[in-house]
Amino acid sequence: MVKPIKESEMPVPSETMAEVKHQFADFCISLGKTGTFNGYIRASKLPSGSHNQESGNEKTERFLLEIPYVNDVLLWYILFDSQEPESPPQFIFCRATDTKYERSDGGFLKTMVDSEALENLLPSLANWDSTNQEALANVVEELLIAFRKYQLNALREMTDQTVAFKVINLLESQTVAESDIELIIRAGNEVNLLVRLAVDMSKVPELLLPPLDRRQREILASVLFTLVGDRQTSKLVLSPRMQLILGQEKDVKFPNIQADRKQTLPEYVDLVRKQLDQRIAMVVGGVNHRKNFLTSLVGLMGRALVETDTKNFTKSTFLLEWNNFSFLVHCCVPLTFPFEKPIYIFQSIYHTCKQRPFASKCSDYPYSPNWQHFEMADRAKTFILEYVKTFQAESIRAK
Amino acid sequence: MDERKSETSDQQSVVNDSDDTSMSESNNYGNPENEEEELDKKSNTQENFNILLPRMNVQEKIIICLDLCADLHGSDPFRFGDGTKLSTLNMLKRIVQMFLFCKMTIDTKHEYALMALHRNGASWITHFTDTPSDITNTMATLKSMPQPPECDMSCVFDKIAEIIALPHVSDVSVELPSHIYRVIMLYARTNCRPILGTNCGSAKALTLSPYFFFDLIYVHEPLNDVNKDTCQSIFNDLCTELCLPTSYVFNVGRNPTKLHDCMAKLLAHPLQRPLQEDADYKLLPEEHSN
Repeated sequence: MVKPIKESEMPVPSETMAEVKHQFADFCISLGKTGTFNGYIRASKLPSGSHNQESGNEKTERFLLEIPYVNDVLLWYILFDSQEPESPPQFIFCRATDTKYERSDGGFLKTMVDSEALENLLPSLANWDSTNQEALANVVEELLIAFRKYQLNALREMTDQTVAFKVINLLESQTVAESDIELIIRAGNEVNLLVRLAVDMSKVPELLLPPLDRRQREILASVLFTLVGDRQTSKLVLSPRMQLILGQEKDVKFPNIQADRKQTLPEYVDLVRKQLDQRIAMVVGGVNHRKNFLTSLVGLMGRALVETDTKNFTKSTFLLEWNNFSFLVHCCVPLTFPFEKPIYIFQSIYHTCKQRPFASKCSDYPYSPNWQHFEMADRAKTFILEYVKTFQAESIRAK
Repeated sequence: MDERKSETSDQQSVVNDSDDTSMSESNNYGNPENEEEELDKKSNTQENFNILLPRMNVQEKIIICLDLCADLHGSDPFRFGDGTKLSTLNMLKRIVQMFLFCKMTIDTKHEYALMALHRNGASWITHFTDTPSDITNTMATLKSMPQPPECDMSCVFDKIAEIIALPHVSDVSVELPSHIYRVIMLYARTNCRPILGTNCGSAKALTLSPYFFFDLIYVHEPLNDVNKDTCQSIFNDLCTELCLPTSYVFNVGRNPTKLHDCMAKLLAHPLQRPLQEDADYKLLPEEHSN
């Protein structure tokens, strides 16, 4: 809770201070213009300190910014002296992975002690204007840019230059721009490098992509490299919306970078980009394939239709009757259709197994991705007819 | 149905399994509909909204209305091939459970709520949830009640209207609602007249919306000379007063298989299912089955 400030103590109208703070929500969205960090920046107001040892002041307004950065979270504390509302805020830089005794980014502060450096790197802080509503947003933006540069410089100053060489090579190869990368140096000279990949989503139908939360920053796809000396490993990082389209990260099955030096960073990044483009093209084409197939199926058995997915065209369910035995059939069409065949799940409406309706998955039937949709639908019906007797027997035996 | 003996050795081998085998047994005996007489259904000639709505599977909010004053055990229970008996209420609970879990398999976005029809009208038991076990756990605790001579159906609509908020769109044939509502009424009283006053405002308001659907299963004692007229008139009242042109309406005696079949037909999404008279579930045309 904000402690009310006595008017006699405040030469600046209190509204201005309040405005600076209340910009936070919009400010975090605008922050999204810089950096590659993926996800949601959280800004929270901490309880006003009465004795803050860091700043030595009696009353401070404190804010915390939690910024996801590479595979860590930056914790930046912003302190305002409520007795001197015109003066610029102070910052404390921490990381979520800092231990109680070790703070990783103390060095960052030192780079700005030099007033010339401050003027160059953080003009909005050097010329702090407490009446400017966007002052704080600008400062944080400049800080982030400076922070990334700081990490890059730290990389260049490492004794073992193997990793630095790789990163510089990546930047010089023009595969990615400096604004597309973000790196962090950890204990033991381990460098985590996040490379943002540009993905063309223009052809992906809107229906497949749910809308993005206004406050959220989304990096669709990136690669996280872990580089220690000669060793290199990679991991594909997909945003939740991307996973909806391509499948979960663990299922996407892109090759990882080869461990020894055989594959350079730029080569690997190119490879991943190509594969991403291919997959997306497949998804775009896939929607129409799935739609056409399910339309044929519904055309054939529509009078027994229970429900069909008219958003992503991944499933149709029918209630069928054979020999006075009724059953449900779910036709599940994978996103990689027609390269992968649909799966049919037969479900009993009478019998249960472990308190759930008994169900049986089948994909053991002849299939070719080259068949036309109506032929696939015809064959589906034949397959269902052939299998139902087996299913009936199985469902009776189920416990 | 339970009296008949199996006719082939294949069928003989399944007789002694779990009580569910009665389903398959009766299936093997030919058309279950022939075993029980059915009531005549009155057709509804009102104008049909169904044609105008987009056939998308939007989220369904399904209200299951369970009749706690269902005919009691003494008056002819549901019988299975192995001799097991289930009271009407327990039979209803069972098909509701199958329905919920099947519907969830179809799409997890649908939501379910439970209302109970009892001596003094109707009450909400469980509010909308997408977890079937929330419903089934509570449902297990509900007990039978004695049947009153009449049932005021307007309270069902009153209670529903208190809670739900029907979606509004400007162009019904083009814009999608965020969800639709569906009531599945399981009315299981052979000798209790349903009454819906002509001035039930909530019923009128609800049924005017194209996003409100009403399905019905009327469960009654097996028909005989004594009760047939009563059952037919109750069924007529239910159809004319409560049902809409888009409704699916069934009547069942004490045939468990048929009751399961009817409930399964109700799995169909109201915006995508054909009109009841157009539905055809047979995999093969009549002359080819077997």
